Amino acid sequence: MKDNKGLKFNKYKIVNKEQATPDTVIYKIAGDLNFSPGQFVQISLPHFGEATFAPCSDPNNKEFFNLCIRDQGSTSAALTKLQVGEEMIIRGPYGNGWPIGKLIGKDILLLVGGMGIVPIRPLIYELLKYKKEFKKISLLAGFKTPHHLLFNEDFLSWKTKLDYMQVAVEKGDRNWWGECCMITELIKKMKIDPKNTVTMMCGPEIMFQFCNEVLCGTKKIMKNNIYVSMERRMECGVGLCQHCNIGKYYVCKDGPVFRLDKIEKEIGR
Amino acid sequence: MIYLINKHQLNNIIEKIQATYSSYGYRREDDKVIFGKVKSPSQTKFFQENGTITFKKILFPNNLDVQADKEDKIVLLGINPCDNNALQIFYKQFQKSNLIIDKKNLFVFVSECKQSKYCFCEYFDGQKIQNYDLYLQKEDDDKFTLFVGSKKGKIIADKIPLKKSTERKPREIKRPNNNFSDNPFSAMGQKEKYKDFWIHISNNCFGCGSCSVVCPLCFCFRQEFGNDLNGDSKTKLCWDSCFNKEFSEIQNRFDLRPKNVDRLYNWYHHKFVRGPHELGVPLCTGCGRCMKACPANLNQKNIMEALEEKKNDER
Repeated sequence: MKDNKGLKFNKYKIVNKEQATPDTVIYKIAGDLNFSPGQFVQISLPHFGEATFAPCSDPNNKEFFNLCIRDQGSTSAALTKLQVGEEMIIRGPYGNGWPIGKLIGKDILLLVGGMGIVPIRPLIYELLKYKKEFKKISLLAGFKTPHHLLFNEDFLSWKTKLDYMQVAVEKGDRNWWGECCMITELIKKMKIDPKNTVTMMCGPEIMFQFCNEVLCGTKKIMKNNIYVSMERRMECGVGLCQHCNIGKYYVCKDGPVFRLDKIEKEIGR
Repeated sequence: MIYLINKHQLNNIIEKIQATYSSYGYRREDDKVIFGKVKSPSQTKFFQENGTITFKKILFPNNLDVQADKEDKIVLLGINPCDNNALQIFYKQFQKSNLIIDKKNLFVFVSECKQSKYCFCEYFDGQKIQNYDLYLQKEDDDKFTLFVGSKKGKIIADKIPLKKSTERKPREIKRPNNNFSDNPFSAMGQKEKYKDFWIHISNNCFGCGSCSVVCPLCFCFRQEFGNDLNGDSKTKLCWDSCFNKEFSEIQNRFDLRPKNVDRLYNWYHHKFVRGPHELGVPLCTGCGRCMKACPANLNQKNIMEALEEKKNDER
């Protein structure tokens, strides 16, 4: 874990802005965040507030990074209105990312729901870079509609680069190239070696519940081979403000990536 | 070193401290004793009951400006041993952040406790007299015993010629009570099992958050981005309470602790489960401020005892 003392703010310049979906923008920002996949940053906007985001670009790119921001509240709405050339005030990265070291020699199953693709995208870059180390990399993703699909081009390229990939939407349209079902159906259809598979999940918490039922039930994957990335309100990012606890763990300091068997007992406590 | 001093010498010592440190302590204001800035030795009161809010408002004040300069050196005069113990726990949590003054620039002058009817420090070792720079104990005939506990304290005491005392160690304030020592707080971590108990308590709780405002070890905060009339915006850290509804909201106003019972339970969970897990000690020294402040007359000590009793009944 990187040592981030106090609240240190850094300024970065926006060099490009892309409207990915009607309510989501992707910023290209100059600078080196030095983050590992799964870590998060706090972006603050004077007069408005601060919000938590995960960088979504290749972690090995030391010149630029990408931030994907969806209009979900007053701060994030204002953040989507920033223009190229303006500065972004960022602190972090904070937290522990995906446990890449534990994946060597394993089958990797990535499960993504909606905006959950954001912290998974740097992980895919990293996994593809060291592809020989892993046995099989699979990606299953679910979105509401084809309009909500982020990184469309990436998905098309991953189709060939990854060993297995399926994308589903709840409600498709005429041009939709993927499946039309819930993500749990995709898991059921897939062949999984329960002993050698490590699952990484990111998405809404309700998705975890249904996916875990399938993974642990019919697919017989052990809970200590499932990792989830949790979302909580964060104010400080360094384990002081007490907003983001799940039981006795802090999402900002001990997470945001947790092993399911560890965190499951704490949820609801 | 231990000295026997009189009132005049005590004032001298305070003067010496105030020359180098900006001093905070108990003083009388409008028929009330409050904890705040003190300017002279005659103004400073020792042997007081715990004030409503303690060192928290000095070291980590509400609306703390993150970028602003901190005071160089601070002395806390006449705080009680339980508050000093709370201070040590506070520093365990905050020492790595740059948000509060460095511990080496803080001087603690502890004075003997004047117990109140609310305090229950004997349960949490809050009565232990330790980690002080100077400790003052009242004796007969307007005399005091002064205990020096650190280098910082010695530097001050050496500035004045003092008579050595025959005392060996500070008088015990209360005998420790080991009621909670047998696997402490194990019941506190089981919300589901004692659901009815917590619902019963929360039905009596107003959820006002008074307990967390007065508690020396409730340090939750949120960030606020104030707007000045001249167009500036400053990041400030404001005290927050886990009893506030917005405390655990995530995007789209989805609340992870929608009911008062969840928030009330979280308060106890932080103090007696999460705190010990993170820092090794419960975040309570039994100062009793929460009981004094509670408008619903909840008694936190009785709640803990009742839960312990409930657990023991099951055996």
